[in-house]
Amino acid sequence: MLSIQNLHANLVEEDKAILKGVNLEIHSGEVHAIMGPNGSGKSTLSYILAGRDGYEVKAGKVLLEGQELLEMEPEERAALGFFLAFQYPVEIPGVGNMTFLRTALNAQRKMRGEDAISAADFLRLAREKAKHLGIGDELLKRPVNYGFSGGEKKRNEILQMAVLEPRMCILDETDSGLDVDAMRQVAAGVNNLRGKERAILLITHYQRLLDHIEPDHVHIMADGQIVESGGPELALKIEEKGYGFMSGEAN
Amino acid sequence: MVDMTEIRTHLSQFEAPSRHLSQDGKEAPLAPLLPEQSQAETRWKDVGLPTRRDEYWKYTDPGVFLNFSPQTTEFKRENSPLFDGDVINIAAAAEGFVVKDGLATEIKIDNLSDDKMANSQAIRQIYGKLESQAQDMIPRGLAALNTHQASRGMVIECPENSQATVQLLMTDERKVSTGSMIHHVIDARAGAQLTLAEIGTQASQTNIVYEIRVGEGASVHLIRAARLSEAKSAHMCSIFADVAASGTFNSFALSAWSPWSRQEYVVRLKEDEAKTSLSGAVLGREDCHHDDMVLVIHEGQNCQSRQVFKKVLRHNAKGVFQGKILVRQDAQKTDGYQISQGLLLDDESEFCAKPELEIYADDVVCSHGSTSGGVDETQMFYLRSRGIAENEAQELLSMAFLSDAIEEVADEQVRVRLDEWAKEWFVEARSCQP
Ligand SMILES: Nc1ncnc2c1ncn2[C@@H]1O[C@H](COP(=O)(O)OP(=O)(O)OP(=O)(O)O)[C@@H](O)[C@H]1O
Ligand SMILES: [Mg+2]
Repeated sequence: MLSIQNLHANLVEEDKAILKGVNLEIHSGEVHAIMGPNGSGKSTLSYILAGRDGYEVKAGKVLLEGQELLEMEPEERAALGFFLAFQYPVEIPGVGNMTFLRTALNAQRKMRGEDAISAADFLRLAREKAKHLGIGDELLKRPVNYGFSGGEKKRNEILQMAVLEPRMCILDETDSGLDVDAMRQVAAGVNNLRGKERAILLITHYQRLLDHIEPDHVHIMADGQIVESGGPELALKIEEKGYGFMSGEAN
Repeated sequence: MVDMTEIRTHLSQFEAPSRHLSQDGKEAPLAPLLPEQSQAETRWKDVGLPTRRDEYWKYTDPGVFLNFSPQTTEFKRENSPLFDGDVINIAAAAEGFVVKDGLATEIKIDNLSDDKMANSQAIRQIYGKLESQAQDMIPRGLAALNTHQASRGMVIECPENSQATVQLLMTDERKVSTGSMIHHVIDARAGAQLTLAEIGTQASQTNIVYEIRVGEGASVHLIRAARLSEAKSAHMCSIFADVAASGTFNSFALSAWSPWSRQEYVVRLKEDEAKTSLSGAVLGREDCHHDDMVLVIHEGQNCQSRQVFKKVLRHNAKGVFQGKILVRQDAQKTDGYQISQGLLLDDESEFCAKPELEIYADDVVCSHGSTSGGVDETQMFYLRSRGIAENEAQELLSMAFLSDAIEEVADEQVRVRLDEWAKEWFVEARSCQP
């Protein structure tokens, strides 16, 4: 599904290397988790995959279903099934949440050569998905993320994911800021999407999320590289011992 | 001093006032219908026509309007009015206005060029009066010229506590080859409620004046939106409103299709608890020039004023906003607000703003702000990361930007239509990228 090969990237503004040779293979049907100290480059990796400006790829490549991801515009990546749940969802005053979601869904359908969904069908779909995530009508009507609480923003990211049904989902610290119920609802939303034709990458600091969504593989990122990979037990080890037990590289 | 040759040339751009034509169609000597019109002649000769040197014409070249060559324009029927309801033809229709209304049974609508109008109370008390009193601070030669020369316009009298919704729109396809000078007079007596929409334009060049008297507890909502593609046009509109105690005057304008427009507003909150909201949404492309110039004068106590002007500009378009809140010494507890913002969709476009506060009372709250800049890159990326293409994302953000101005319109149905019209503009703009 997603193949990241020796990815090196700099911040354009500061000419500072952030990613220093990331390698990661994710296959359909798998759930991966990346953990790692603050500032190790996890969000940077997810932004570069999503196509955000401001980074310069120095070396390496990324394939999504065999296609060169880094060559594409952000919207093309989305139409191909790439989705990033932002660590910091963006507030857009003046744009209604429903308008936004429907525009996004129809834009993707159009790019894939599918028909647009009608307003009525969309409303039904969005309401249904929102219900499972504990998102009420009131939140659907408000401007995108505008004035949402931290947890509401995270739920809204998962709502977008549920509606858009992407094939490669990256969740960047979606668990932070969620209350116990929200955590359960969000985890159920993600588990719902889990399937043969999809892959999920969770970026998280806490085992708590992984209790609800059990990963197939866990990776540790440190200083712009994946320094260790293993099964779910690796996350438990981190939870218990911190990053200190690993080789010097990780710190 | 006025240059009479210049004025004659300018006037020749406009249709000859019908009453100035004798039976055989030859031009008769100027014989103004109303005494107020002769007085206006003295006024414009006094203040002259605007020049680039005038303080409030610094960002806008009056020459574009003064020396405009009217085009022969085919005006299309406006098929989607702002309000629902039946079209009724009234006397004014013959003069090119058609009123579409739902509720206008109680009010009286006449045409200015009708002889008997000279004696109407509204004309005697309002015509030329509001324009004239606005001349003392800032010269407005084009408005005085209009008062003198206007050949037609609506006179709308709303009796006490009446309610009406009136639309001025075109229901016929017409070819027009000259400019139009139009002068509307509105008299909303105590407690009357009037919503007036002016949709579409009368000619490729227009000089329009509104004189609006809002009585005690009355409210007048004016909505102007010209939804006609005109390759070459120039529209000037001056709106003068006097608002009595607890009265409300609201105005919203959508300027999107005309290449050149200037709106001048002078609103006087004469008595206590009067309110006004003046707002405008501008969409400018391909060298368009849109200028709004506002003067709100607080005279009564506890009055509220809002100015909300938003301009989306691309392809070398220029937006201008000059707005002043003037608070007289006795106008305590004034609440004045003003915001003007330009959204520049490229590097060639320009937004010029001159916000002003002039306050002589001590117990007031007044704020003003002005910004100019491009779309927020973080928001753009967020939208695009969800599959929304760059131009569509830009449109969404532009509509969001305009929404603050459109929100000032009280009627939800009208807001929805205005929103649709603005979206149409983007669709058109997309299909003719330079
Ligand atoms: N715009 C920027 N300007 C300067 N430095 C930046 C910028 N963006 C990222 N960085 C730096 O790049 C490094 C990686 O940041 P990144 O956000 O990817 O870390 P992270 O692993 O997601 O951390 P966290 O766990 O705290 O979310 C950090 O040192 C950060 O300060
Ligand atoms: Mg991060």
